[in-house]
Amino acid sequence: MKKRTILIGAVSLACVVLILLPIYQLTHTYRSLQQIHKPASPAKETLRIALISPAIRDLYWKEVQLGIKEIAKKQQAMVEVHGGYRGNASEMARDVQRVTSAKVDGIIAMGMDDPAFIQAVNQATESGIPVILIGTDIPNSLRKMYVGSDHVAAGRLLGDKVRVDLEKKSNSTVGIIGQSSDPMVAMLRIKGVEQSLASQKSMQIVKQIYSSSERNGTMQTMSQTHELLNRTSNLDAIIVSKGEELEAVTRVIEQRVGLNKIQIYTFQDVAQLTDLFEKGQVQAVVVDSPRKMGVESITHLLSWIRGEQLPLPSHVYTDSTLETSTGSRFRNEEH
Amino acid sequence: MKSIKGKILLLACCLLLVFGLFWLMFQYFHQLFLQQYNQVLERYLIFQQVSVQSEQLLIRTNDFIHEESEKSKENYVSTRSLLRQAQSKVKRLQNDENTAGVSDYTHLIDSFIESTDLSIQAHQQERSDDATRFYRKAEQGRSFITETTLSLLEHELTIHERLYAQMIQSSKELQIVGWEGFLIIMVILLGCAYWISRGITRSIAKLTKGARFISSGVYDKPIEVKSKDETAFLAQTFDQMRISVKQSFEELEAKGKLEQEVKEYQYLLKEMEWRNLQNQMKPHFLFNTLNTLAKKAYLEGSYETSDLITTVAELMRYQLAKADVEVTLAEEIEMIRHYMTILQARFTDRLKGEEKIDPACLHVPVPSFLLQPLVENAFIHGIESKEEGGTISIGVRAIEYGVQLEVTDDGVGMSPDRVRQILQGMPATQGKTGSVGLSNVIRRLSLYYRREDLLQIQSEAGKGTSITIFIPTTLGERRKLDDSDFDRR
Repeated sequence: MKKRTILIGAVSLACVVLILLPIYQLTHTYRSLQQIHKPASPAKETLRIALISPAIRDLYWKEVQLGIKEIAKKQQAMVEVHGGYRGNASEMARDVQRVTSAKVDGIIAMGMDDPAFIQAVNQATESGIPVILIGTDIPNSLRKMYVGSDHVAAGRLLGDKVRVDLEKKSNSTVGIIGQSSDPMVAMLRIKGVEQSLASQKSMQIVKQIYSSSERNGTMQTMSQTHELLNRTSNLDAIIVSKGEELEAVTRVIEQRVGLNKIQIYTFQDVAQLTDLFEKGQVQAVVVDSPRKMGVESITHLLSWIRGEQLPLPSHVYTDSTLETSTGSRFRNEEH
Repeated sequence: MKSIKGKILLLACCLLLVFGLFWLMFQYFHQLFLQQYNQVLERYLIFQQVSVQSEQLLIRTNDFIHEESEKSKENYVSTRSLLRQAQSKVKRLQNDENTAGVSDYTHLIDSFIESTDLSIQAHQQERSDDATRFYRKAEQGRSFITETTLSLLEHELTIHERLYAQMIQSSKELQIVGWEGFLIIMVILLGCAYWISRGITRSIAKLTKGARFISSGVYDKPIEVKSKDETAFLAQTFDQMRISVKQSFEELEAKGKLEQEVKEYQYLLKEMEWRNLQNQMKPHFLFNTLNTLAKKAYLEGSYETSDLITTVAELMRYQLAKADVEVTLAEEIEMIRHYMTILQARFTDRLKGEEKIDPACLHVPVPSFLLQPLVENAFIHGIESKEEGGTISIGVRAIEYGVQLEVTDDGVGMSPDRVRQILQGMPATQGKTGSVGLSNVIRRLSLYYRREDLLQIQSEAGKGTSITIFIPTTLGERRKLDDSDFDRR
């Protein structure tokens, strides 16, 4: 009798388990199904900030994004990233127009010296949307503020380094290569470098300024480097005003005279610098602080939108630091 | 009461419950799937609506600018409201992953409608340049809407890809659940079928076994069925039947036995009667002759002889009259005295008689000729063969629950084997008459009182024999019953 009771108990237990197991499974399924079309939690009216960049996958820009998102998360603002992977000015302009049309609360964009872009920025400002430019300033646009490096100061920093490096050598020659079509960055940097080098009277400066179109930028840089090398036979150092140009310049120098003959100085705009440092090709680099740019820009933007800071300063400069191949290594913060 | 009907109902309920559960579950999930598909479709439709209506609105704006009329304005207003409706639905599309996109989307629609409104307004105010400018802006807005629609749809598709994967997974799970349900139902069905049938078959097997026992005449095996259904009732009734059959059978048996006993008793009585009758002829003749002899002796002056002859005649008369009747102990004792007188007349010096009688016991009824065979026995086997003679003493004593009769002689005695033989009713090897008398007494006692232990023999070779009879006096009831039995016959 007892055995039978146990048997019946076991069988009914098994039945219950058999029934409950699928029910458990199905409730799980049901939950996950429900999850898919779950309407958003009734979000508070958060501030929508658009971040527009021509190269959103770029490490430099990733740093900027990190800075922005860090603050946005703290202040509960929503950041949408727009832009392409190798964007141009017209695409940027269209993006700005689109976010303007979508009535975002603020725009943070990489500055571009392009009429369409400037017009788009102006339109946004006219529609009452504040625009903060980072990296590149366009003072003649209706932008609210510029956050980024002071390129003249950065140029000066690099110039000082070159001067110190070449001090012992008399009649040294320094080449500078830069694009005239990039007046807001390259030209400013060259201006800073020249200011710094002007004190060294014995130093000969050879400038190779050219105008480049977007289509064949690398080819042009290479030919301009050739021309620079043709113009001066005994170049001691070369200052590359944009990080993008560095690869083309080093390639030409390697072909023509060898890398150890000419010391290369440049500004950090691209990520490959680590490699160049390792090979000893680059003597020194001026490094921006992209994360700081992000942090500063979003902080100012949010405080302006909330009316906490009126008016905004026209520009906030972030630090530029000099990294040398012998000194501290380049900070490569991968995220 | 767990009847078979109840069990079957329970089984049906169980199955129905499980079936129902699974059916409901499947229905529910079917509904859920439909709902999900529906939702997906609805979402697509919202996007489609926004896209179509924005296109339409642009066309209406263009129509209005080119050809201003009440109808075109009406068209514009209705399309605008349709787009607004679509826009209000867009909010529903929002989820955690596309919050930004959706809020962009609604604002883009806002901007678009603003632009078309401004364009219409400018046209109405005859600022055609502004109208065109706003129209261009509206066009741009429309293209932004299309782009965003596409990107949102793309996002939607990625979500739905997950949804479909989930659905496929779910339907697989449902299939498994279906199989599990099938299994459960099978288990329940088989289990219950086994349970019910076992309950029935086990009971029936027990009943069959019981029936077989009864048919083979064994009524002692009880039929026990432990189940609580109808078969238990059947078994109970069957068992009752067995018991009553057994009872009546036993009754019949007892009656048969009784009848046999009565017959035997009657036979014994008949035998005695027959013997008496046989003897009666001689005794009657003898009795008469003895009386004549007694008178003759008296007339001739031989008084002693006359008395003796009279005693013999008395004894004979007693024997003739009381053959199968119950007598009192007093009468029996009187008869024994006569008998002793005759024996003493025969063996003047060799036989001595002694009596030790408690007069209080004399009223006790006893079967007739109870003591005479014993005395005869004692004389024939104990004393007659002894040259110097002996003593026969008769004792009557009241003891607990009865009376003790004792016939003692100091004759030759018996061996223990012989005593046993007599008690077991074995035929005697010597002297036919006496032994028959003794075993007749034993048999009659046991029939009369229905007890086997009433007569005891103590004997020692050379020293004498003592036969003791215990007469129970607490048998009034039994006696009456037996009388009625005899009367019935």
